[in-house]
Amino acid sequence: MRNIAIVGVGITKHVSKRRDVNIPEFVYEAVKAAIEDADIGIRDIDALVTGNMPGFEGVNCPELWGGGYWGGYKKPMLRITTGGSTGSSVAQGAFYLVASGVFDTVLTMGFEKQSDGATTVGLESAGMSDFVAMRAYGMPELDPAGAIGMFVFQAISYMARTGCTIDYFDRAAAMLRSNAAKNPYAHIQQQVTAEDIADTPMIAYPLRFGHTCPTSDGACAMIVTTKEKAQKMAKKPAWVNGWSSCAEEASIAGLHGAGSINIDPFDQRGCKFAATKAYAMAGIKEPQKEIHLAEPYVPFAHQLFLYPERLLLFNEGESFRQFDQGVMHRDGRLPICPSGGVVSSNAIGAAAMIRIAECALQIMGKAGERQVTRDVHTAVAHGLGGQANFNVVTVLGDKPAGR
Amino acid sequence: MSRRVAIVAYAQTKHEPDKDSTREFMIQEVATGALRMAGISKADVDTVVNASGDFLDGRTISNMKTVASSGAYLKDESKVEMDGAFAAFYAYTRILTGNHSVALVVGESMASCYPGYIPSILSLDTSFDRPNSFLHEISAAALQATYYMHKYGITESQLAKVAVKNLRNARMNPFALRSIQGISMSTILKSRMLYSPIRELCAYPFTDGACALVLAEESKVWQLTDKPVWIEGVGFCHDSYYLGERKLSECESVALAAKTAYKMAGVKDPKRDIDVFELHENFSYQELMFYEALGLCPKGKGGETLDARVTEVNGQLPVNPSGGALAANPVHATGLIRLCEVAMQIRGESGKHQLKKKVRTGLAHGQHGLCAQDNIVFILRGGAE
Amino acid sequence: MTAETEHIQISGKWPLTQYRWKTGGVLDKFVQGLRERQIYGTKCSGCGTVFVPPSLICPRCQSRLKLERKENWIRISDKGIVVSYTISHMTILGGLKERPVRPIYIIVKLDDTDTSNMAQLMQTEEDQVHVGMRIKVDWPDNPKGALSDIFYFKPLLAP
Repeated sequence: MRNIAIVGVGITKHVSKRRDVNIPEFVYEAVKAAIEDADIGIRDIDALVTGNMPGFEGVNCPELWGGGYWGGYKKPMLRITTGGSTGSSVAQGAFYLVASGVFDTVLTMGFEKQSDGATTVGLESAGMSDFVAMRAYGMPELDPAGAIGMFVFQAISYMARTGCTIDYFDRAAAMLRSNAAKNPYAHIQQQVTAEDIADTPMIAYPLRFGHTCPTSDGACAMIVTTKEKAQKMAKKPAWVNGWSSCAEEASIAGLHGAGSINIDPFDQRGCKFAATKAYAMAGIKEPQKEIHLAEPYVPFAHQLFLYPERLLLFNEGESFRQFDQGVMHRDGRLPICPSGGVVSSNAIGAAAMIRIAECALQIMGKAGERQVTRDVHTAVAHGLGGQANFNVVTVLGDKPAGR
Repeated sequence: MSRRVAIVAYAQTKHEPDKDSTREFMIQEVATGALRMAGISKADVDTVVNASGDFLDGRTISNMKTVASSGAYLKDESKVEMDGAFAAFYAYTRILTGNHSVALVVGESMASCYPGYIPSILSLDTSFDRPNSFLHEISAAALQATYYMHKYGITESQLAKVAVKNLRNARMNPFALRSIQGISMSTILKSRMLYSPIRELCAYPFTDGACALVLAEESKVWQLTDKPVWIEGVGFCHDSYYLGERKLSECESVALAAKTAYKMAGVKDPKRDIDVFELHENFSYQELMFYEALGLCPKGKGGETLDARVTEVNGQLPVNPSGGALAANPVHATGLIRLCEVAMQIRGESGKHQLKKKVRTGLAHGQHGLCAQDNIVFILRGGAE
Repeated sequence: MTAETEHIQISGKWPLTQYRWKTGGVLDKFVQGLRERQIYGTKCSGCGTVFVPPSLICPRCQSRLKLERKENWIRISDKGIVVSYTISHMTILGGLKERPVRPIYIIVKLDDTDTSNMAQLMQTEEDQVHVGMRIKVDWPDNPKGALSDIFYFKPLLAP
């Protein structure tokens, strides 16, 4: 296996609606930015890997239409989609394509133009077969707050098992939103306080409006390449040293003949498994000590505490206890989501890739105003998809893992 | 790249127009069937790659609920939303890195559950093509077929002859959906005209089906089979979306994909070096264009090559002894089936449709998008080394 | 570029109503049992995992459920515990609106099963519901043989 690195990143400013571009034009903006960032040309790209959640735009395999706009003309192109973790699964596709030796330089894109479609359809259609079965077998009409529904249960479970309280979520959300205020690409850029968050209406206990992610139009592109080429393309490449993913059963029972044995979306065993494998691959033995920055996939504030524990960065039930000491803040020992996280920008197909891109930018020292105070030599990025059943973990560093 | 990867086991369903089964059962059937053939259980599988589509499943994240049936529970799983042969390529790169030794690739769809041509219509350019509601798979294929026929003097009966050849071959394939007794030119020419010159029997059938392959890396291969089918070369290529920007009389993306695959596999002359071809021909005219793109004959001579009976099962370059996509086309699985069928020929396990000649090297092809926009070509080789 | 640019919007739709999903009839026996106030679970013949609602394929061992075998259907208690819960303050479907009455939705794990389902908890105050609470199905007087029969739960006062 070869050493690989990210040498260019392009992210669009996330907004609610981009009415001035269609999908190919939209993603082109991110592609152009990434190619310029790496200071290369289209000719240097050997293959493309892309993905999004097509239910949102109502366009099947949009890269068939858009590939030419993105430099894919007469080039090998692959489409990978896994729900919310799409961005990270797409990036993993690029990692495998380069690390295996098949291609040298791969352009990878994740995007979502959510305003093109009805978000409810995009999200709820994941359970279409269940809804149809429900109606056929007489289940009452439910409105358990859409996608929030499952994560709300996760939040309650976290509170019950660890003793965490809702005011921590308020402070977490305030930190994340304020981080996003320094991120030129974030959707919601507001300096807010925990009191502001606590003032927002409750959607489903314990999650308030202020704790939840927006829906955004956004795109992200990255250039992944070999060690030899990386050293020419970037002053300080971000080395991708470890990656893994783990699939579980969709949380909470399905009715379409698919009773789930994932009883509680709190467990997230898959995240622990994927993290263990990714750290091992990267040669990280004590993540609690050796990881300097984390970008977990946090569309809801309570996950700022849950996922770092599942990523083995804190003991179970301990992460929130260290929050008030400032450990996770931008100037802390282990900054978490200095970009503002998914809770500040959520274009589903892009969000998981942006976690990786943001880690890369921090390692490369190119994170601008949101660059964290401490030196970042290692970072971990995480993507979450499906009904909390796909976990994808990527470990980056400022030196290539010895291979 | 010193690691080598081989297909060690496979399974496919009997392809039907409306299976009395579910998507999950089909996946479980082929996944466990392939594992059983390799003599392993799901515990031995390191990674699973699924090929399915949201717009064919009728729900977003089509692989979310296939975790149990494909045996991907607590495994490194991903999904390639393209033809299954592309998913096989992705699994191949996963093994090449050394992170995984054994991969399971599964592709499926149930045409009895989705509204026909709508999913491919939903892939059209939303600004112009979709609102016009003229362009879809059949009309696009018809436009290309007419252009190709006009440019090279290909006739309608040559298009029909491809269908006769493939559907006759399909009679010997127990998995094929179309199994029409006494098939002849007149059967094809009497079938309904969809968009001229595309007749119903010259177009693929709507199919419920699935296919699975087990891939393994070299050091594991000999524990799992004594007849490995090595992946010697692979190439894939994306062409322009707009028909008007493509060279309609050629399949350039097939040619480019094949060029990469041939180079990798050391194939200097496909006519001499390859014993069998399994091509993913959604429409009969495409097969003729593929002959040319793959270098089996000069440009424009696809029809003549067919007339000379070169591509029949007893010919020098047998194409689609399984019947191809005209016999069964479960979208997302079809390319995997082509890989499966080549593997079967190399291993001597094709039963009634086994070629009489010795088969050592085969070419498998998959396509994705309107009028074979994206194509992938594999070169597979059997043998002891 | 002119200062005034007009954005044209073209609508389309994904006709989800034209799709079908095949379920293998696994829920038929399940809902029949509900008419008699009997919840059935399916036991995996490979590893013994018990599923409610019934599952076609076991994720642990990839075995396929044999619906026709009586021994694979086992009787399940109508008592269980709250694994997690939420109180819905707002509706999402059809636009965000404050709900005048706030339902308590729960994840319930019935005794004897290895799975969980979503349900609604009745006869409970918001400050009473807690993780680990013992609950029981609030059967309707005349069960219809539909999933709604086991959708409503109430607190179990005796252990």
